[in-house]
Amino acid sequence: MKKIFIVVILFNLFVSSLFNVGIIESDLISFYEIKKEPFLLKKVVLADNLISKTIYKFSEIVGFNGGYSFFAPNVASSFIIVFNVHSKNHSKMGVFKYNNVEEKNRINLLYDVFMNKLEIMSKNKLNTNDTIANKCIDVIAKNFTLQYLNSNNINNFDSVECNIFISNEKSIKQIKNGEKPDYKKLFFYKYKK
Amino acid sequence: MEKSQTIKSYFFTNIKNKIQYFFYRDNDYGYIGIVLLRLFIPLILIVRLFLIKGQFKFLFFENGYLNRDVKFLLGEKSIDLYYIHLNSVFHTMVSYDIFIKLFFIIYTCLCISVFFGFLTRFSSLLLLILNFIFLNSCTKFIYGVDYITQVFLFYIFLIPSGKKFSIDNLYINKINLFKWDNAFSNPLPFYRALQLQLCLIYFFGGIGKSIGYNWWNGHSIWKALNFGSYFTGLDYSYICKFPYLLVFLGIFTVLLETFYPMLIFFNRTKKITIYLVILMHLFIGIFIGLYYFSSVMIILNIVSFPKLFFNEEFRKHF
Repeated sequence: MKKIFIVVILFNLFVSSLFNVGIIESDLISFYEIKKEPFLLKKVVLADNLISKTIYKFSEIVGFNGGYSFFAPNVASSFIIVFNVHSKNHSKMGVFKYNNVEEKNRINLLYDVFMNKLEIMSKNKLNTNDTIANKCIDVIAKNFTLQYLNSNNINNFDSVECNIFISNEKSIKQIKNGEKPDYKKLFFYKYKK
Repeated sequence: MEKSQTIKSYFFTNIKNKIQYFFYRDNDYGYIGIVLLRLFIPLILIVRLFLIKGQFKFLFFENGYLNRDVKFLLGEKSIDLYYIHLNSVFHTMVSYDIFIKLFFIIYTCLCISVFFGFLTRFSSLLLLILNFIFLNSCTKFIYGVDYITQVFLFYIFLIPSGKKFSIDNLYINKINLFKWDNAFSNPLPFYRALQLQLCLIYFFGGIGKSIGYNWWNGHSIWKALNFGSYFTGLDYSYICKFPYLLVFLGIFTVLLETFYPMLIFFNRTKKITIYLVILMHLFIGIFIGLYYFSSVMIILNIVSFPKLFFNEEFRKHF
C-alpha cells in the first residue's frame, strides 16, 4: 500500500511537470517569436492517442493542466473600458463599477480576449478563423456595452461608444525622466439604439 | 565486472534508502497541517464565490459577456453548466436559472461538508467535480490560483484529511476507501505529497519567469507594480528612482521561486526561505492587489510545512 501511494504521488508530479514543461516551451516559442511548433504540448500532451487523451482528461479534472508560470515570461498588461454615452443633448463618460479588487482583477483577465484583435492586426492578414474571432470580439464588446447600460439604468441615448484601452508601458528610464504611465486605445465599438 | 555491479547496487540501495528516509522517517508533524488544509480549501472556495458573486449574472447566464455561442466560436468546447443542463434530465425538470442556483447551493453545502469533515472523501470528490464544472463555465475568468486550489482539493481527497477533528472521526465508523490511510506509522508521506506539489508550483513559476529577460532587468517588477496600481489605485512612479532595487527584486523573485524546492528542505535555509516566500506574497497582496492569490499561497505554505509555524506542544493536540 505504501508503494502504491508513493507511485500515485510520483505520477501526479510527473503529469503536473509534463504540462508545465510543455507550457514553458510554448511560452518560450511565442515570447521570442521562434518559428517552431511546441513539440511537447502538441506532440505529447495533446497527441491524438488514448494515453494522452486519458492523461489530459485526468489533468483537466484535478487541475494539473493549468501551468504555474504566473506573470511569466512577462507581466500582462492591464485594460480599462471607457463608455461614452451620446444623446441629443449631451455626452457622458463612464466606466464599470466593481465590488472588490478580486472582481476587477478577474474582469481584467476577461479583457484579454481583446488582445486577439491586436494579434490579428499585427499579423496583417485575415483568414477565416481570424474573421470569426473578430466577430466574436465585436459580440463581446456589444455584451459589455449592454451590461453597462443595464447596470446603470441608461435608457435615453442615441449611441454608445465602447473604448478598450491597454496600459501603455513606459520604461523605467522614461518614468525616471518624469513621464507618467498612460493607456493606449486598443479597440473601439459603437452601439446604436 | 563484479566491482562495477557492486558499485551499481550500492548506488541504487543508497538512493532507495534516501527516498525511504525522505518519505517514511519518524516525525512529529501531527495532523495539524492536513486538518488546516481541509478547513481552508473549502473556505477559500466559498470566499471566491462571495468575491465574484456580483458578476454571476454576467458570467453564467445566456445574456452574459461570453454566452455559450461566443464561447463555442472561440473554440471552447468544455463540459460547463450550460452543457450539463442541456444534456441531462435537469433540462426537462428545471429552467437553466434554477439549475444554476441549485448548483451553487449544492456547491456550498459540499464546501461545508468538507470543512466539517463529514463523509470527507465522498464530499471532496463531489466538490472536485463541481469545481471542475465551475472552472469550465468561466474559463476566461479564472487564473493560476484556481488551478492550484483544484489541485489541493484533489489532495484532500487523496490523503486521509478527515482522520482528525472531523465528524467522520467522531461519529462515522472509519471507512477506509484507500488502504494507505492506515499503512503509514506517521502522516509524513501525506505532507511530502503536499510539499512536493508546492515545490513544483514554485519551481515552474521561477523557470517560467527566468525565460523572460524583463525579470532580469527590473522591468517585470515595474510592470507588475504598474499592473497593481490599476487595482490598488496607488502611484508607484517614485520607485523608478531606484532602478537597482527593481533589478534586485526581479532577480530575487526568480531565484527564490526556482530554488525553493532545494532551500525548503535544508535545515539551515528552510525557515528563512518560508519567511521570504511569505514576505513575497504579502508584497504581491498589498502592492499588486492580488490579495486572494497571496492569501491562498500563504495558507498552502503553512499547511504544507506546519512544523515551521506551530510548536511541538501545539502539534501534539493533532
